[in-house]
Amino acid sequence: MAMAVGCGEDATSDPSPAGGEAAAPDGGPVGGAAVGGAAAGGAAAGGAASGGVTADAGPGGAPFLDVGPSGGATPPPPEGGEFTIEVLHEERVTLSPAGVSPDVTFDVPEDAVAFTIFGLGERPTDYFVVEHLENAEGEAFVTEDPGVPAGPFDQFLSPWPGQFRSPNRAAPSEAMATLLFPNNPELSVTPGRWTLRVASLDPNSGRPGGGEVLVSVRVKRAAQPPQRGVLKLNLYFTGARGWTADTALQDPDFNAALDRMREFYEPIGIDVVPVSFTDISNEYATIDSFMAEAGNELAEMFALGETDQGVNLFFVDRFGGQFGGQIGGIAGAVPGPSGELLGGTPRSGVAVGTSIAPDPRSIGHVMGHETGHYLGLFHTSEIFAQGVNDPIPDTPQGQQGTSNLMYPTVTPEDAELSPQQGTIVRGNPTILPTEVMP
Amino acid sequence: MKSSAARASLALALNLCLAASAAAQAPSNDVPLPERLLAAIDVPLTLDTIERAGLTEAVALRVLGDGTRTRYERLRAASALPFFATPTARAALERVAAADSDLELRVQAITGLTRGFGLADPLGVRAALDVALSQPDTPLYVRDHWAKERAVLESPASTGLPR
Repeated sequence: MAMAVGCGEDATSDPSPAGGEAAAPDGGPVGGAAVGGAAAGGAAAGGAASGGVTADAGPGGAPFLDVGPSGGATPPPPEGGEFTIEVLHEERVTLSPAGVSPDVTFDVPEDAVAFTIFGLGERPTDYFVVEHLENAEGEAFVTEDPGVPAGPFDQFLSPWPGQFRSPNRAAPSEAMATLLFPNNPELSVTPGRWTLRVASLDPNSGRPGGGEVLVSVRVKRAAQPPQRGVLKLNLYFTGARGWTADTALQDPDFNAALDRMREFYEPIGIDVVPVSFTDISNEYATIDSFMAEAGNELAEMFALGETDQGVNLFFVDRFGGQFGGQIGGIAGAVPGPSGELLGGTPRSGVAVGTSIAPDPRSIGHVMGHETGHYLGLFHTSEIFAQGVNDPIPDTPQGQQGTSNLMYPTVTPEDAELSPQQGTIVRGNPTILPTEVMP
Repeated sequence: MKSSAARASLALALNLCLAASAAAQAPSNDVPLPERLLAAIDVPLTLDTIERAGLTEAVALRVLGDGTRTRYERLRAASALPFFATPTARAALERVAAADSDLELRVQAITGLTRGFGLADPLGVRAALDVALSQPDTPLYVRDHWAKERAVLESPASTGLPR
């Protein structure tokens, strides 16, 4: 087994410069600093009702900006272009003593193909979930009682097992509730007034969470389901594996890992394009705490990901945790936040451990897998919970499905995303129109 | 402890990114569940996951000592050993920390020793690693890591050490 580049003395004797200053490389195959260019349609988003989001929107505002309820008139359909992405609704709500928000309603236009819901809480270590979601006809897609028999793994799966077994799976995460609709190809968006609720839980006490939640709904609108799109990558370097903002694009291992990641997304019509390169403190090269703990380092690092378009990808050496327990990588949430107001949250990123393998293809596999979570995909099958599979019919089910990128184990071998996984991912508003890129 | 256990369980659930559809019974896998756990990308190693997977100390020792395994599987095996908290596990980690050909394995073993055994026996762990890593041919990468972990040993609250 060959030694990894960056595992030797050079990797630690010459740490990358600390600090959060953006450092776009000169030239290189993907260009330098953030790529501009407006998405089709839509003005800059803000607190205004139904504001559009342009692909080159500036840095996201701080969480908990003073936004009022929005909604009301449905915006006109997009003119030209493949699709547009817009903020459909923003509203600050207060959780009840039971830890549940009041109903939040939003109007879905005729040409909506998918939307994301983010509910950013005030308490970063509490758990949040989209507790309920129904369309104008009252059809519930996320509900406490989905009518599916309880399973033996329910309590293992989630504090909200009903929502987990719902037609559109809702998984909890720290600090914010997140949901992509649809994440099941058998569901589709229908126009009209939808209703959602967010719930919260304090994991330390097991009691309901509290405080305010900033709810944001972003929609992708198109005449036809999008067939192509762009995934912007904002890359953050701790100096792990010797990779830095200035040098990464000249590093063969880095390029091999990036190429591997592209191999997963190109066949489903998604161009993976790094657009920004930033060095952060070497202190984050080892992430010692990444679970629900006050001030956990992972959340702290993700909050450095202030870029609010695309996916913030952080390269670390390793994960520590209790007894130094290794994982290969981790996504901020399923799906992860992206869009106005959603940069710099404790969930705003994907982290990948670069010490896990000498072979950069395995690192590229983890980059692709965790980004798949961030874009809304679940594991095809769970290694513990036999019979618990993703809701996507064309993915290989069970423990033989190792050829799929979203199977839970790492491999340098060939793997792919299925066509229906591609449809789900392309619907996510994090995937931008191709015309935003030069 | 109850709160801690609940927290661990809930936190695990958050990180598993699980599916919920009650599909048909999955086919059996050629790879035993304990070894699947060792190859899992984003399933943390905790007492709960180790017990659920049926991962034993013997399996972890076997994978750690098997040079044909991927680095990642061996790293995870080294990460699992401290949970068993036995002299056998400790001795295996000391051997890897001192002399494995893969520097990342050595680093992981050092971490496992300090965090898994250092709380109960900080002086013993420190002495063993000082000796093992004092050889002139010990790579700087390994020595640097030991310097960091020694600081952790002296101040457990500075990181995610169990409290």
